[in-house]
Amino acid sequence: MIDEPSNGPARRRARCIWLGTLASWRGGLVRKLVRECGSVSQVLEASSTELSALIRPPGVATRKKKVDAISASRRLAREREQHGAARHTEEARFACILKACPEDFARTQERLPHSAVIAWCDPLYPPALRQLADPPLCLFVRARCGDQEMRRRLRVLCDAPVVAVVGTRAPSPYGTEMAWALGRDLTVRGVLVVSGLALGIDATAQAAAIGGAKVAQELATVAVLGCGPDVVYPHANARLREEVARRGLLVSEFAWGVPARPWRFPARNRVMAGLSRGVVVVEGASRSGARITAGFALELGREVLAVPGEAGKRLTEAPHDLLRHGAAICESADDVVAAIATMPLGPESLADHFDASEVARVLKEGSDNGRVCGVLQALERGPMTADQVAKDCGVRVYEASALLSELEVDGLATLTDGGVYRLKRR
Amino acid sequence: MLASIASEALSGLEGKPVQVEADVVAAAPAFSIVGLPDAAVQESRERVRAAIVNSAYAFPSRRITVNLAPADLRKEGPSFDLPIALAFLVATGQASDGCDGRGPLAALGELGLDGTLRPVAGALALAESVRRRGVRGLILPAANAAEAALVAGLEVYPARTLAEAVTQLAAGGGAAAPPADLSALLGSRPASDADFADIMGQEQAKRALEVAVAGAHNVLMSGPPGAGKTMLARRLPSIMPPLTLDEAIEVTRIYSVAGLLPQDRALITQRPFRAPHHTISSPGLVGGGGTPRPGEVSLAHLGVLFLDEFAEFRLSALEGLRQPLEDGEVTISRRLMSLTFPARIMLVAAMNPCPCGYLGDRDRDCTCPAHRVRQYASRLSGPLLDRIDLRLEVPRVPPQDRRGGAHGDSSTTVRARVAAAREHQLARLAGSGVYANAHMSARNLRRLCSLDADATALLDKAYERLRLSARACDRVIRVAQTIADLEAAPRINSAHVAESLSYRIRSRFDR
Amino acid sequence: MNARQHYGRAAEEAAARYLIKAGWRLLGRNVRVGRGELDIVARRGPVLAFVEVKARRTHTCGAPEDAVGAAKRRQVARLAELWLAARPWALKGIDEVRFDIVAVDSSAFPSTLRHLPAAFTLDR
Repeated sequence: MIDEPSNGPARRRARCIWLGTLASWRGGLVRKLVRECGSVSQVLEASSTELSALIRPPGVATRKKKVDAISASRRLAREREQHGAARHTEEARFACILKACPEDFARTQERLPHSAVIAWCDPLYPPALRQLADPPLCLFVRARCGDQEMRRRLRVLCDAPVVAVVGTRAPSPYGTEMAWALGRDLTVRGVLVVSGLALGIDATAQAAAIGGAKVAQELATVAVLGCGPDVVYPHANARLREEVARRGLLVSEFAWGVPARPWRFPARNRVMAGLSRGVVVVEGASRSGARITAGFALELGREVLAVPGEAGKRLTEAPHDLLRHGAAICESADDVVAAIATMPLGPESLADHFDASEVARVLKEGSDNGRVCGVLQALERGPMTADQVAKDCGVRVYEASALLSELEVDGLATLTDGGVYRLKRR
Repeated sequence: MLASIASEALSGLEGKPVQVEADVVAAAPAFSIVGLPDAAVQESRERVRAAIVNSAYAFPSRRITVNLAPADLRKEGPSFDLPIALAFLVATGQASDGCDGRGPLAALGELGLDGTLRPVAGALALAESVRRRGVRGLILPAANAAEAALVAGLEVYPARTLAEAVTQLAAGGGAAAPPADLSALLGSRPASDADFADIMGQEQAKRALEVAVAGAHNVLMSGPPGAGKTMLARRLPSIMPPLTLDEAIEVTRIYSVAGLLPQDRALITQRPFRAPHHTISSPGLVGGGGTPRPGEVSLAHLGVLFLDEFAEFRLSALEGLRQPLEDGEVTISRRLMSLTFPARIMLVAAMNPCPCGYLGDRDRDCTCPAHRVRQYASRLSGPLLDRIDLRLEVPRVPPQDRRGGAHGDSSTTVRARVAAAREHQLARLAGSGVYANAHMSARNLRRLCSLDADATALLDKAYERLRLSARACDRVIRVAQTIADLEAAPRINSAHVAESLSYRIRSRFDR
Repeated sequence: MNARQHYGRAAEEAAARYLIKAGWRLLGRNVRVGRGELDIVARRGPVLAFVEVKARRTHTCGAPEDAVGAAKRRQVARLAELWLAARPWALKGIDEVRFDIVAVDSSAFPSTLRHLPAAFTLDR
């Protein structure tokens, strides 16, 4: 796919791709090589014999990992048990690739349609990623478009300001709304939204970004995956994945066919943090993946923002903890833009952006339906069930139901789980 | 010698005429019954023999052949004991049939070994068949007399023992049971202590249930454990409108055939409320068995079928609900026959929103992974959801709302409103074959429901903005019509439509 | 003839004498029908009886009545049918047809004789 340069660089590139593929089948390989050889370029210059010595084939002392903390060993033991069989096939693949010749191997990796492989030494490799101590040696990219378009998108990835929006897989309706608003507003303003295509916040933000990117030529969003770009995970997001492939990019440091396994997600999170200028944590429990991504971002010196929520709730533990430790508060896309100090490239304010008091004012002027305003004011104070609205506004419960329905039809309110009505942020 | 007595066989919910013939000749002694008898009828021989001997009649050693005509109709159950015994006694000259002048009498009943007459199931249906075929009277066990007395124009002769029956047969009658006072029976209502006003809070749920009962709409209640869904459902019978006379007879007939008619009451006057456990099998829910018997849906005919823990029911059982919800009846086919039982029910289903039950709860967090919530929600198949008109979320009521509020309306008040709404519906639906708004066909909907301009505008807006399907629109109109009936409004206005919209089924994933 | 046959013969004689004394007219003894034998065929008034005689000296094998098991009963019934079929005049003036058992019990002294009228029918 990418033009083949002349021999020396070609060899480096092939070596890059070969090592990158090996690394995706066994984690921590690059870190180890870099530690032994000094830097990434030195790794690429090293001779085959040196590398073979460093990359111990499976079965030889790889099981004997030195573990510092007891918890780590327990976790490894549990993982080994759970994924024992999986690891075995992966070790087999690893051994097979290890035996191959780098140049031939690299050629096979690049021959697939709708795909590209960006090596560390390529000009299209995102510069932000080079700041990592153990960067991905190559990126495997997939998109449903032609070569020309793919190259253009990759260029946008390198140039545009990137923000990662991450959060829990089981968000509250409030979290979903915030993720949606952030995804859409940031995209409209010209910021590239990346996320992990996981269920929940990630998927919402990416879907909103696709919706917000109205212009066909823009790169809508980039998904950083914890598996090979051709592997569909999670299955529930298959359609969204297709949309991202059509309008954006699916990027991964893991090679084709690498399955999704729990130990690959922290690695993916570091790539996400590496690519972006700032990370926004929308919602998450105290020990969630979003927290890990924020951790990487702090290490790399990126901006970290957190969306506040209701005190004491499990899903606001991570954001509030980050806020306590100095992360910036994020209430809207404006805060994010301000934090990464970028000139807005899109329209300043969104034409159809209402807040609740606006709505009430508009309605009061427009009609004399005081009861609807009463209901709106009640909902402004917080989400309520129909019973509570009825009591609050002093009307019969069926009148309250009717009024709430009218608000639903007008798009101002929505019914969520538990029979609770809430105002919709538009 | 040959003798013949008229009787009835139960087939589904109706009786089929049977003639019991007995032929007694002097030959090697044997007692055989022909005419497709089942095992219970074969056992009649032992019961009849013992009953006759123990009633001080003679059982001479002859060849006895009993034929239950017509020969191609399956005969089941012990109700032929009495006619066989009477036929035998007449054939051996120990009893006489004194009915020739005024027309024959039919007989049915089970015999105990001592000659006492035991009640049979389905006596009402059998008595109706006797009347239909033109026979003037029926001799039957005293315990079944009250049921049979419900049939107008039938002489009912209760007998407690075989000897009494013989006397009645000889006399061509005897002391007839008095015909039932139908209006008095209908008027009586057993007192119950479950009242709607017992429930504190949950005003929206109570209102929704009032609407549902008024129009016989199917309801789905969703909420965390302990929110009160079961409590609400159990109070539904207290607000259901009373049965009309024809409806009462229909329900009584079904319960009589199922053998569930209570001893002390001949006529069922309250709408049935059935709440099967979620481990019930498909034949138990819908009806079936070797000889098809009515299932829970038929026992809930014209009443409420409450399925608590809806998601725990077997899929095969739930699938069987489709036909009753659509057509109002259940057809059970077997190799030899096919029976149809009525099953016009109001379905009330209660379920948790997710496997742990706490999705959307304000105090407790849901601990279910997202894919399991989706899996759980998908147990409600599309076709079943299509038949449910109202959906309500029943959240747990916070303590402050439960204490110190004014009591809601009592059951009596609500029932009066519901009954009034039903009257309006019956007036509108006269001649269309259904008795409630929920059962209106799409064509009748267009014809009989009129919306005013505001209502139409709101409905159109909702169709577009909320992406309703055409069927969903129909459901909204049906429920809105019931809400209008509760107010005795001549036309449906926008407030009715708006309230109806708040009860619609929402897909879990379009938020 | 051995002792057992003697005993059996004696029992049959005793049964026959008992029936005659009770007013029965013996129509046949040890009547051969087809391949089987009917012990006694007797008539009294409108009743025609096919009598099986069973004798036992001890109770080891159970009471004499129990010796007439299902198979034996079916056989007797079948033979009776055949006998009747061959003699259509036999049923003239007959109201009742029965299968009886006469049981001779010699387990105690003196021997006892029991007559069980209508002991079984074709369908049991």
